Amino acid sequence: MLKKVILIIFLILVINVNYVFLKSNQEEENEVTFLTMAGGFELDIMEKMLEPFEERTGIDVILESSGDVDSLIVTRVESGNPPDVANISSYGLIRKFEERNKVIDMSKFLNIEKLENEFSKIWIDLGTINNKLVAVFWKSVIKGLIWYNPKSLSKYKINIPSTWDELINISRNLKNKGFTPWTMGLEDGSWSGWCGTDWIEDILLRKYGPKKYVEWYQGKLKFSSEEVRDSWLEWGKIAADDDMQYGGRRYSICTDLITTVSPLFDSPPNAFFHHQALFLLNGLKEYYPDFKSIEDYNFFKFPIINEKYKDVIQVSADSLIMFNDSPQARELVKYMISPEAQSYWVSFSNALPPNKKVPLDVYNDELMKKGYKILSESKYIVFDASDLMPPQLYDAFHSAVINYMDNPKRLNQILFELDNIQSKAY
Amino acid sequence: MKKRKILWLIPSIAFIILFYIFPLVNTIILSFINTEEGSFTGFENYISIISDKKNIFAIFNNLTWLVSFLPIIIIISLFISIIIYNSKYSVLIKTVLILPISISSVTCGIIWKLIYSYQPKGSPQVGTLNFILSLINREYIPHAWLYETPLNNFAIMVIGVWIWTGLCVVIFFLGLNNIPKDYIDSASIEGANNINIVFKILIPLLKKEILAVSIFLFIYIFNLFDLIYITTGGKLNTEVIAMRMYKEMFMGYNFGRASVLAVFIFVMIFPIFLVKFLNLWKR
Repeated sequence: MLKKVILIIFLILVINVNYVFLKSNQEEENEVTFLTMAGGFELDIMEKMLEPFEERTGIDVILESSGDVDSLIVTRVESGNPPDVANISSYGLIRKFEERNKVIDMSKFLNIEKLENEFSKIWIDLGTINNKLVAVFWKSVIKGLIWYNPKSLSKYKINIPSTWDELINISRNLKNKGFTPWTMGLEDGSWSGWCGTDWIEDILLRKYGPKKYVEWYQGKLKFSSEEVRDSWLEWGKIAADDDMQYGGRRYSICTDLITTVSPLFDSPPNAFFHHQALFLLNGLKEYYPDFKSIEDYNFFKFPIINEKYKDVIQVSADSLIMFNDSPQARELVKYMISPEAQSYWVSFSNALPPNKKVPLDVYNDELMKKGYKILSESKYIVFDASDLMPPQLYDAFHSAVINYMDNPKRLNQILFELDNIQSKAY
Repeated sequence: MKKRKILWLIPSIAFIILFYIFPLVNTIILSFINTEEGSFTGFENYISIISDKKNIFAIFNNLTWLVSFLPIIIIISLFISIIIYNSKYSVLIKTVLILPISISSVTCGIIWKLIYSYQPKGSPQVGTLNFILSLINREYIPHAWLYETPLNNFAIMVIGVWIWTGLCVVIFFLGLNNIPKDYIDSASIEGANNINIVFKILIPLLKKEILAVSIFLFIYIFNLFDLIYITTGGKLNTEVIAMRMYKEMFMGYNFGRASVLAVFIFVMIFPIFLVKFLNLWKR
């Protein structure tokens, strides 16, 4: 009997040794593991985008996709099994990884001069934490766009507003005539509320400028400060008013963003404006394949609130970070940020390339070109503030937006609670 | 001979130590560590968790589930199992009732999100529940069931009841089948009516099954995560303790604080295990 037990233990050991041996052999192979948050059609585009790289270098890119990259990456990093390269959007996590020395400083192998030549300063500054270049950006979108149906606006003789006051006046006039000016969708599972945070960020940025905006996400400006509170109240002119939005506040809270676009296309229109980033174009093309850009849907830049800050724009982006320094991983990163890879992405998807060398003629849609024009004409480009806040504050901010829409009278209490979380988060 | 018998236990003991005891001890140790600095921090994590209102609210929500969901599901399951006890359709009813358990919680959440779907008054109701209610009453004002506090917590509980009632009914039904028919016949002959038979014979004799179901549901409540995550994402006061743990761990990347919440869940569940274990040991 004892012999059998010893035999079993021996077999287990043999299997383990074999596994370790095979794994170490694998590591010597010409491959790189790449964890991405891209899914669905974006994953197909990415696979196609990586094909020329694989052919040219002979490196096999093992692409892993997950809709919950943040959770997966934390688990894998802590268990000592991170992917070589990962594509994540949570800036808070990148910062945490850097604090724990888990990510590779890419300035060791990237040509900084070339990088500065090809990318705007904002991308390099954002990727640099504690003087280390730990993230590079390969895909971005501009935020703060107001989408509309051009046919509805021309039918009801509505001009594109250039200032916030004009926009509010148009909205109030429409409301007084019995129309619903806006449509909003804040529901997105556990991420619900981010559409509202974008509103507040856009208003704060345009009314009080980039300096206050930066102070705010750095935790130096309180949520209950006059500037931030006022931004909530400005948004409240639309968000806190049931008659200003299709279906009222409750409908906005519990409906997802793409569903709430449909009132724009109803006849007669059930809504005239929708605030969203450029990536709404993806959803419009998927759900309304017969509609045409410019003709059936279009956008204008968030109107000016303070003339001093008319050339500001808010962006968000997907980053690349490296956990294992290998020649294959270095090559992959270099390829992903190259004009070649980003041109491929732009010609098939609806995101803007952070690389300035991507030619305009590869853009697959006129609205993409319009988005690029807005971006290139902006003097101040800032990153989505909530994405830059510590994760616990970011989450609380999302919930606060929902709570505010649920009961706008609780604003003071909501801001006080956010102050509390902010004071502990940094 | 005795030594050899013990040898056979080694793999099981090793498995338990490796996959149960070690992670548990490790979690307890982590709860005293400051993850930013990797240093021992005493009860700092515990104090910071307790002083965070969100965690207190999450615990309160778990307790709400405990005092509402648990008794409701036991009462409903007992009622159904007693009703179908002598029915010739009992197999069919049990099969239908147990079906939701074969569906993943995520799918159940999505199905019920559609059932609870809300459209403003005047628009055609797509959600089954609002649609039926608007058919019954034309003046009915539709509800955003998952987004109205405190209604939303109970709306999620209904999903839980839908999922687990079938299993509880099957357990109670098996228990009822184990009760000798003579007891019921004797009681009837002695003049006991149906209510007396249910409350004085059937339910007391189902004590073991009720305890088993209660323990199972108790553990379910403190591990509850997926249903909330899918339906409301923890927004509008629906967050529960396991969700807080997830956020501390994967969003906050704070193992220390997340471990405190894990220890809390363990402390809540462990006494129940202990009682059950001691009961088995005595036998």
